[in-house]
Amino acid sequence: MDCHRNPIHCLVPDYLLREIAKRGGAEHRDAALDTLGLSATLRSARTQAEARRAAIGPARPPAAALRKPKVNRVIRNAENGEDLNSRIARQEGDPDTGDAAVDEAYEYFGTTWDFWFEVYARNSIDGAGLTLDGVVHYSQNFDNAFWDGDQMIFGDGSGQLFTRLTQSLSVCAHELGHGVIQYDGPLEYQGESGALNEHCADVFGTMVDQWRNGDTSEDADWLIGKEILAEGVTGKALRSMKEPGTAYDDDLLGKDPQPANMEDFVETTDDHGGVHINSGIPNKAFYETAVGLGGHSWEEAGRIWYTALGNPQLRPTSSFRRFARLTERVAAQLYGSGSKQADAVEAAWASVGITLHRTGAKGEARGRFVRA
Amino acid sequence: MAEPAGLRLSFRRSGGLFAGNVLATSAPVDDELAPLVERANLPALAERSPISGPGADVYQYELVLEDDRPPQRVIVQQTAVPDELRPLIERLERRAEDERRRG
Repeated sequence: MDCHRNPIHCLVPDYLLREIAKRGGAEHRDAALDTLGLSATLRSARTQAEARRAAIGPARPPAAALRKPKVNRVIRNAENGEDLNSRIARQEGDPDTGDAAVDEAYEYFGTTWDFWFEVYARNSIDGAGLTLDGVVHYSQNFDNAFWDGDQMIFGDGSGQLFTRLTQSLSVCAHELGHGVIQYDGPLEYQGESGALNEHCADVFGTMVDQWRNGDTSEDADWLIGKEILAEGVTGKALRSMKEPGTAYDDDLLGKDPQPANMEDFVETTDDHGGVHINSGIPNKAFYETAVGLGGHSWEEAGRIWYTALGNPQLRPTSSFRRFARLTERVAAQLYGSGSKQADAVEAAWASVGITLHRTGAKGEARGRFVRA
Repeated sequence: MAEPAGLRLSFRRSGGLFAGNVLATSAPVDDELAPLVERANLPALAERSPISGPGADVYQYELVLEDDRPPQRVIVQQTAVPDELRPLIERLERRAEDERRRG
């Protein structure tokens, strides 16, 4: 670090750097941001993310303040094997291959990257230009897509439950969202914090889908993975954020088990403690916030949620209640205490059984137990 | 070493991108499974359980080995499956899928 060139690099604590970045002129702002960036080994990635987001500010068109970086995509074809280091089928700048899974992954990674940069001025998953790596045609009859900590992996589906998983933008953006959560959270993948991890990935997945379509919160379908249910499956999607528990009711899959209220919280040892089940509760709270505020989900509700995810007060094992409090606090910081945004967040959490301001109230009642 | 008579193994796969895709089977430890069970050394893995790994939307595998002793229970995440356990999981997964297809 060069202490002689600019004293701001040596002496100023983080909170002041963030204020300088927010309020200072261009030169000071750049110096403050440089310093925050240079101190990567000394500060957590999460603190930096918060500072950069605070510096960009809610009102300023974010992309205009920065020179636009470039997306970098690498799509590998596992050819129905399980080698994650298989041959590269398409990389940045290459033309269409004619392989639908390869081309869909490439296109939807690009759409998702554009969303993150144009809406939140975030350069890729890590905020620092990380290459978007994906593997398609993974394994045989593989009814899943997942984030392995480094890259996104997609099966072709068995044709009985799901079809090619790359067909769904909300699924691709959900998987990429897990990467963002890993860098900004993180949220431990178990129990309530795991359900928050899943919830945030659904929030990002649906926002990318809605942004691509130009949907308002009122008009959007709020479905995750509507494109991939196989023919013959009775259902409309993997999950409904608008109406958790109604996405499918099928002989093979059973009925959608997602609750929409803390009264119906599911205690289970399956699925890392029900991470894809209980995520229905915060999903519904986000939907209610977005619809309550009107307009587009990514403008206010999404900004509140994204900022809360990067807030240092979020713990890896945070509960729904802690996250709810944090979203309300962030809404008050961004838009003012007593603002319609803060009120909408509080009302949305109350609607799913998490009350934030009633003295002595626990605010939630635990419900069902599925299996030992 | 042959497994004791009456040994039974239950397998359950849950998780993935979606809550409804649960796969399960339960079977006696027969000649086909016995060498895979022995290689997996489930009692040793049970002491490390739950075995977690990186990532999200990955499968969770749960194996329970039952006989007249307290059952040995192993929960392991897809990205953290030890090499010695992988052949047993693959065999049980195929068996559970066949059973689901047959209804």
